[in-house]
Amino acid sequence: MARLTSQELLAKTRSEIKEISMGELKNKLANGDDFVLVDTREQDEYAQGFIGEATHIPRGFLELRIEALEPDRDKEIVLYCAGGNRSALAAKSLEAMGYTDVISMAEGFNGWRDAGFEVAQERTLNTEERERYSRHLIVPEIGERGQVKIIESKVLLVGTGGLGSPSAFYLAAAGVGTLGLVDFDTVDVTNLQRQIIHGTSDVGRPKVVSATETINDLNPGVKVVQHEERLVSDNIMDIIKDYDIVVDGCDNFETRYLVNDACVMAGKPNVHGSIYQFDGYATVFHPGEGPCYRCLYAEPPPPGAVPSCDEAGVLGVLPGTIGLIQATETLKLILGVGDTLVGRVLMYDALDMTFQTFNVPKDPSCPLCGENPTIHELIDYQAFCGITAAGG
Amino acid sequence: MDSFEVGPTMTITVKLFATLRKFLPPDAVKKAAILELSEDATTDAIVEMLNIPDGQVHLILIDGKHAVNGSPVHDGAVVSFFPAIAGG
Repeated sequence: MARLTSQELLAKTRSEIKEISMGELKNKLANGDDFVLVDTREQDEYAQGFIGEATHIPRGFLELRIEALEPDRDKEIVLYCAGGNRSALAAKSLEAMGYTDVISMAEGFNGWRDAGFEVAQERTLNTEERERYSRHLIVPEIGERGQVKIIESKVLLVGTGGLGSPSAFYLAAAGVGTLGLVDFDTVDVTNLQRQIIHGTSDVGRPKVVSATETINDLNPGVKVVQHEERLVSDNIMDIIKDYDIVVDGCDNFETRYLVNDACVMAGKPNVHGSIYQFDGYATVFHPGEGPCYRCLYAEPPPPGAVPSCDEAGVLGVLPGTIGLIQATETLKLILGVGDTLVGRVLMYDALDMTFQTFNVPKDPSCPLCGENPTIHELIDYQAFCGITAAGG
Repeated sequence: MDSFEVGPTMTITVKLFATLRKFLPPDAVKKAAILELSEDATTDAIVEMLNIPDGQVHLILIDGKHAVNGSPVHDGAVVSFFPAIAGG
């Protein structure tokens, strides 16, 4: 077996693999070419800056994680390190795995940076965060960049009841950086059969206060913003403007229509969940990308036609299931991974233990987001469960 | 529906969810019932047959695909009606 020095090995490897210059990589990025860019340097090097939207996989983990990132063996993969040596060795290794179109960028990140080409930089995790979110970091679809996205996200939860409790709990655990809580209600002992973010000692206290304390104990890194007020047309736009995503876990139609209309007007995704006894619905209304609530139900049902949980009861576990589907969809929206429920409705039947999803199109005649909208301002459906449904 | 001349008929399965379950006929099994309809029936005929009040059916599926009020149904179809629910 030939004995090679490290220099000889590198020279041999670089002669055997395909290399491109940093100028060529720059052109490929500018052209929007379809390829996978991987930064193979170590964590501390990556933290100093990286190229484009490179995925960070340290050299030592490359063979273990590349298939999760790109299973297609014929996909073009461009690797870079600091100076073109480690990425050359890495390219050789990927070729041995059967990847047919692997390229190493010759000058590496240092050459790129020294040439004055654009360097991306993002918030990185501190040691404590890296430990807390370690089970996220090793998931290829999340990783450090995904966790940073979660930490930098701002999510508004409308309601901290049956649906809001599990959503808020898990979103806080996942590290959502800012959680807004809207609820004007106080904790009642009858809530505790399902509203798990509150405890027996919280009875009589404002729900937003009780929920904030639970969240702070679970994850002190989360900033909780309390909105202890009823959502109405006068305050909703001002409240939602600071958030990226709205999670609708309220318990009445008037608020659901208000949240939908405000989210469409503000262009915010609205993660919807609703429940009744043993049945639950979940979907995502994403303005511009799919239908809104009014595409499904143009107007609220007749007053009194639909009993509330207070009147009809609900299996205590049910909002847990639906609330966590909402939390899951919220995280997917933040991360930009997977197929969300945009344009689809999920129906859950706890008695039959069946989930079914079906596509729902955007309605061209929708009074809010259709071709000739008739709703141009927010509507307060006052006293909805009572007698009149105003506006419309 | 009460035509003197009995025309061709078809059989469909209707499934009612959540607040609509109370409109199921007595012979329903779980949330599903078998109905016999005239051959040219639409979803409106099912709503009428089950005495579901106006405005309560909000989403309709025929064989798992989104449909609207008045959509035609066919022999052997599974038609699901979902109400709007707001609980949280």
